[in-house]
Amino acid sequence: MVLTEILNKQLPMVEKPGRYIGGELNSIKKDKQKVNINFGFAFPDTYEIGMSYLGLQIIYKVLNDIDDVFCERIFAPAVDMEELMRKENIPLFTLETKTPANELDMLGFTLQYELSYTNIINMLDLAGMPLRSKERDDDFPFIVGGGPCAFNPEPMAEIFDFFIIGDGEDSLPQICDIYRELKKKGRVNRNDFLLSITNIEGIYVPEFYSPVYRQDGTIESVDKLKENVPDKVKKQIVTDLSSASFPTEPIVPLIEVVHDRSVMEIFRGCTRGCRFCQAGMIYRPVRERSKDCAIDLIKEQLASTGYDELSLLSLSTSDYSEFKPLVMELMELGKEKNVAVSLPSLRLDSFSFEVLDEIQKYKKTGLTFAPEAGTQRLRDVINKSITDKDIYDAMGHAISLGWTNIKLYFMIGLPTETYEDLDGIVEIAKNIMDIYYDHNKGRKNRRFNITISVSNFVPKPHTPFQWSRQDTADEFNEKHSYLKEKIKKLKGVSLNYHNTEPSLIEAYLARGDRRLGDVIIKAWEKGCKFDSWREHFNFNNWMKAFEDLCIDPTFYSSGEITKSEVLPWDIIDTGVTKKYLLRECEKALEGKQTHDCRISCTACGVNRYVKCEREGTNG
Amino acid sequence: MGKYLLKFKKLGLIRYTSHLDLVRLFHRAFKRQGISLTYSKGFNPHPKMSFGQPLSLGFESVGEYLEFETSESYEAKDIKDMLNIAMPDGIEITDCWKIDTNQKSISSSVEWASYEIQWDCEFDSSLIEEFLNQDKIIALKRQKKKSTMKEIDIKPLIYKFNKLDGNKGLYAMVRTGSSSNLNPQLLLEAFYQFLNREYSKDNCIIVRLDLYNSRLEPLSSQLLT
Ligand code: SF4
Repeated sequence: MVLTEILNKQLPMVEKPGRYIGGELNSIKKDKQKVNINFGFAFPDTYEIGMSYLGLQIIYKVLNDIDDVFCERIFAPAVDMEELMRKENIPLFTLETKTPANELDMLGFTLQYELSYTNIINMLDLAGMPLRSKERDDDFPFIVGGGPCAFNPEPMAEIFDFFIIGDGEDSLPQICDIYRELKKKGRVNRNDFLLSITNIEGIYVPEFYSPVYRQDGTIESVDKLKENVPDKVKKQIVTDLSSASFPTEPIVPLIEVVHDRSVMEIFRGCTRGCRFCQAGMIYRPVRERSKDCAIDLIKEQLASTGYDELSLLSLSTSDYSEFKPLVMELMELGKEKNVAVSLPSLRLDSFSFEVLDEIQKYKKTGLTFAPEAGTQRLRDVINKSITDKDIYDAMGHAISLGWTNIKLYFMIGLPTETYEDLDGIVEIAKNIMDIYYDHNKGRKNRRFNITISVSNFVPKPHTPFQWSRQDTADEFNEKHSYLKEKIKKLKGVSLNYHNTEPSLIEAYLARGDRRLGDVIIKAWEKGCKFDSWREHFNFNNWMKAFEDLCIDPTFYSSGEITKSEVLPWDIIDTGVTKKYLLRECEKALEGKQTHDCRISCTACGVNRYVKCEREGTNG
Repeated sequence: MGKYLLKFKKLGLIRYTSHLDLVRLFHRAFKRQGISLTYSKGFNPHPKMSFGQPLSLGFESVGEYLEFETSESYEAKDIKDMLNIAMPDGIEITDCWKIDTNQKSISSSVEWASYEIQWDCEFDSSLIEEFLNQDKIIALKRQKKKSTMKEIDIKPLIYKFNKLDGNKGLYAMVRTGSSSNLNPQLLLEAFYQFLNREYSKDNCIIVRLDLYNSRLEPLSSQLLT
């Protein structure tokens, strides 16, 4: 209450004060005294970014559906707000009831990208909590992490008390059950609780394991410090998406956020097996929500929010087994209810074009396409099953239907890449321009443009490229200037590329081990936060942090890792076997593709744990 | 077909949302409750919905107005009840009136607004008189789309400005509307300056009380008769 008053008075002093107020339609309030577990869901970035993330709404519902659990939201304050909070002694607080974060029972962070790690440290500090797990006693909330980056939990292992690996829909209620039981008996003892939850699938408690390092920094072995904890932590898998909890009454933000619309997750996982893609590996196998279920939930969502825009979420929309009928029904629904439908990550075949043409009729805003690599050879290496013909057919189609803004996504620094592959990127842009000129009978038109968007390859854990080296800063920079020079000469084509330095930090953290916890804290002490924001990222401070702790960052990126080595994330079992990843890695170097497992199973191993509903369905 | 006028409150932390946020919020509330608004004709159709006078971010209000047209006819009370279900914390619809579809826009008749300024002020009332008795009351106004400041005389824009009983704050009735407008914050800045104090946005909470037409009648009074 007191905090609400302070905020009411102080908020005029900050930018976008609407970020900190809560009270949105469909947000939930419970009587804190009457619940057993007060949970804080923390997103380590600003409100606008966090509220655009569906996972938050899912967890919010899962937890608040339990009567005696109250889940509130917490976001990272922007820099000006943080300043104000520190000046006025305002602790990190929940949006719903403005409760200080350190008064909660559990505080859960979602780890969506490595460059948000310093924000987590900053938020713990703002909450007045010791940063390291071992420094916190029974009086502090449990700090739990989940999300894709938890699949290599080691860099944050000293900070968090435990991690949830895999889908959280089922494990969170199980964790709450254990907490409730212990609470009934009196005070919840840290050790008792942490030990009990190791029985739940997907729970990793780092303090029960201790890595032993060799002289050269590689891992010799990992010692188990408690007898009964699992040797490997198997991710938790929700098997039936249609019966899983889904936010039918999502919170409707009051201020503008990045994605402000109704969202339907039609499936989790991907069968394609692109070798650089972590999501494609860790979310296996594909689990679909039935079409009827999806449509019903969409209707409920629209009715409870009043949104006039709707989008689908998945790794590859067109691969949905009932894609056509779903889209037809959605288009009908959209017309009937005056709701705009948007379909991201489509494969550009003729049906998609029909649909896109219908959706964007007069306002052809732009078309995106991701060949990822500039030559067929390199696309074979990364297992991206697009041919040159696919690209040009699709672009020809787009041009004839009147699209004038084309965006192409590529990745550079991929294993085996040479400058020929970079030339390939330029070639593709040039050829699309030629298709356009042909179509336009040789006349130039300043309205037609192509944007080449280039990201830097970051080798990720649990992928076939997890052993690969990353390009050095110099190599990346040279490639950037090379492309810049070449593309400058092409009229109507522009180039966007990601800065080199953030990609390096991302790589260090992605494949980091437990020793990086100190580096992250040190970097934060030197002022690092909001590292994914161009205006806040400070490479020098990161480098100084590594230097202070005598850790060579290139250890984590530049050297090819020996295949037999123990990897920091080996403790996590995604279901996909190391054998499969090794085989994929070898095939990559031979330039051999592996087919989509909807044709037939390619033996990644996840079916040891769960049935693959799409196995061989397109065979 | 129907034309309606809503009166609503905006109180508490939701005062930190902008006018545009409020427009979006009402759009969604109508949509959620299945109240179909009439759309304008033309290339870029938009729903016929207009606010009495945008409220600055940070102000509270107990007298906001929204005028809109629907393609079906509803009972005014039903609209009020339906919308209240779809409102976030701090917004409350207090009244809804059905108005004659031929009546000219109510929102365009706004000429004055009254405000309560919650501020524990310790100064003598005579200072306000002195302040108001100046030949000119000069305030610095930021010029539209420029960063430069311009001196303007706000005296003709003030109808009333006085202290509330028991040091609770101030009351002001000032010009508002598209032709001529005085933001009470500007008035406060000028007054603080007169008192030789520095004005800061967190000094007080400003609450809009009501909107009035040129005859100084509250907007809704035209409908109550
Ligand atoms: S086990 Fe086979 S079918 Fe299942 S995800 Fe792996 S490769 Fe695909």
